[in-house]
Amino acid sequence: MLPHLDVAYTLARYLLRDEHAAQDVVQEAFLRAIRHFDGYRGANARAWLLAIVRNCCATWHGKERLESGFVEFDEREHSGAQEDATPEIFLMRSSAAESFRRALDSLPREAREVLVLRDVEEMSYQEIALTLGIPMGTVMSRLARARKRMQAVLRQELRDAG
Amino acid sequence: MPADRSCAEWQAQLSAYADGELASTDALAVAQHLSGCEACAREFNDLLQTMKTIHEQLPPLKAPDALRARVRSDLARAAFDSTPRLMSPSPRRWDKWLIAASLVLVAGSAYVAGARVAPSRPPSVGDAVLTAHVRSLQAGHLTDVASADQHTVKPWFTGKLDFSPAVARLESDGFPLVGGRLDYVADRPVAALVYSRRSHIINVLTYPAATGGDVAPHLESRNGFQIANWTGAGMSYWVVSDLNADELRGFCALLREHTARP
Repeated sequence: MLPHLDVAYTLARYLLRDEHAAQDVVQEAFLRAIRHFDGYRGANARAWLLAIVRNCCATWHGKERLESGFVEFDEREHSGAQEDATPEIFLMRSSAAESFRRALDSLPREAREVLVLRDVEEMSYQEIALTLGIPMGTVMSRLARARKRMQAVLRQELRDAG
Repeated sequence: MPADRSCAEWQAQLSAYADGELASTDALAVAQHLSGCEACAREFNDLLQTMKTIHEQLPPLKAPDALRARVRSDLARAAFDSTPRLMSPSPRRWDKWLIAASLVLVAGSAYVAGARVAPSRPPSVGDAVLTAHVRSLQAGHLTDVASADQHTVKPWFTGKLDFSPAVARLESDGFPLVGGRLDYVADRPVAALVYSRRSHIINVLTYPAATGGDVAPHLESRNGFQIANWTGAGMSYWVVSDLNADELRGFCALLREHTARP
């Protein structure tokens, strides 16, 4: 009976590419939550916990970037694997789910966060604002841009696929 | 909202409109514009389609069991660290632990809020039993005498308690005895008998009843654990486990049968 665990894991799994990293990050987030619940003000346990998960993901991203020279936005452009692929090969190689995942990963982290919080965790704008510590107006514009960008990338994937 | 805004400005609102997050007057204005502007209506349809795809492709996930186990054990350790071995509950620390446990174990901020506004509620025997259970799951704290044999476990209590607990053999019913230990709840030392069912641990805490007369079993669910309590043959019994309610009810019925005679 750890109901928040599933939402926490969902967020981490969609923010990080690596399954094991997602698990480690969630465990770390719960440890921090247990250790620091003095800082919890009782407004919204889920938003509070997801804020910790999200911060842990950001820390992990930062570490990974430092350790591997990993640049988040350029992965699509720089992954040579697809450049020589004809549409047919591309189609065979990647299911719809994979190309969707690639589209999601191509978004800046800030865009991915709002997208997952809204469209997967189904949080209200107010909860998202609380979780990310940003004004509601920013949630609104960031989410609109994220969806717009997702739309464009998906359209591009479709075109690439044939 | 001015009527002469550009389509780009209208389109910036569509996402929040689709989420039902616009104020009603703004939503009405968007709806009116959409009914008269083909380009924006098309844009809106595309957006809905994209949202549908996102929704379909990003299902809510279930945390792997391994992760669940890791977090559970972290939590139990944290509970142990913040709870004195022998319960002389300092209300502040107790409350603190309850909040932490309810936050991560129990969904819903309502319960948490409830626990926070009533910090003076004295911990009940049920609370103490639950803590004893969580504490017992720590490595090395489950049993003081580890044995599946009641003739080893029962004499072990002699001289350590002012009563002799009935030790039932239930392994033929699928509840092997794991061992026994001394614990402390309800302001007194008690006998703790540990049984198992698959990977689940069942703690049975028993001590002489404060008042005469049998009390029928009462089962409640708390923080994901099942807690049962009854009085029979002059003894109080508390049974706590993360086993499902049905199987634990069966266990309690068996235990009551075996301990009906003093």
